[in-house]
Amino acid sequence: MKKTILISLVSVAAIGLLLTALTFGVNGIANRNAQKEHERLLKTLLPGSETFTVEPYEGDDPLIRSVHKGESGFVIETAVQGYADEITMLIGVNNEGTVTGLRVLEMHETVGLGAAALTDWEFLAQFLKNKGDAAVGDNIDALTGATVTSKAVARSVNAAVAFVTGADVDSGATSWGG
Amino acid sequence: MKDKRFLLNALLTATVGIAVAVCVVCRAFLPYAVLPQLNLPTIALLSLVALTANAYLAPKTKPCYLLSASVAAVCFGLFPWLGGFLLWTEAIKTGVIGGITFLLLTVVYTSLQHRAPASRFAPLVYGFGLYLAAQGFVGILL
Repeated sequence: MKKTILISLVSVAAIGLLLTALTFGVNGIANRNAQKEHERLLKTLLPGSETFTVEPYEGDDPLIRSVHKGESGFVIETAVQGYADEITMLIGVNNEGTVTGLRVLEMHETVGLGAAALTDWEFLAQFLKNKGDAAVGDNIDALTGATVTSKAVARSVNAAVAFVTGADVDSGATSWGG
Repeated sequence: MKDKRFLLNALLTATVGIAVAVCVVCRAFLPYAVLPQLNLPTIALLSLVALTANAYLAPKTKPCYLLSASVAAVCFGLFPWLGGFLLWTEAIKTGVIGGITFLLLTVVYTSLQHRAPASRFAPLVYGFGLYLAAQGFVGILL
């Protein structure tokens, strides 16, 4: 029994030390890559903009987390409640109020159903050139078996466009997308 | 007979450690990759990988349940915290849930192993079946 306890403790300590060393070792690389990837993503979502500044958001829309202002528009980070958990997205909207790009950053929806929103380009492409009137069942086809997730994405897009166009959050302009 | 009760704990430590290490590396080089959440199905999966490996390497060994549950609680709480994936408060909660889950799965897996017919693929079948059961159980909870 003593041998069992000793070996268990030693293995936990050894793996713990290795993990700590690995985490500290790649920390610098992780930060640099995250920054580079973030900049690349912003430029992809909002073509025509090279530099971005983070603007403080002081509005009433609870879906909007942060705003990145570029020369040709904004990239807005939103967080909306999906089926299982929050869905975090980046949505590019140009100064004319048209969606130029969107990307789901984080989600934990049902694998095989709502999780398809991460990579289903046909679904996501429906929101391109949208002017904040995305409505599932109307001009947006939902993901099969994932209506809640689809509506959450639509709601995020509408909120992002409403921010740029100055639409009133309470007016129903950013109501449940569909 | 050699005492191989330590093997299950070592295998679990290695399994969870490798999983967290892979996530650390993914986060460093693929910052926007969506990594799996450390929820019940993931805890069950990692536990069953360790149990299945142990079934092949130390087939007739009865584990020390309390020690194994404690090691599991430490692994599932400490390693994700060291990897920077959890705050210390979440780590404690995850550790407790991980320990209990691993204990339950160990009891059921060991019972199956010692009572059901043995074959070359039996440990894999038990592991897969228990994983499906764990997923179904989580579905009921939600």
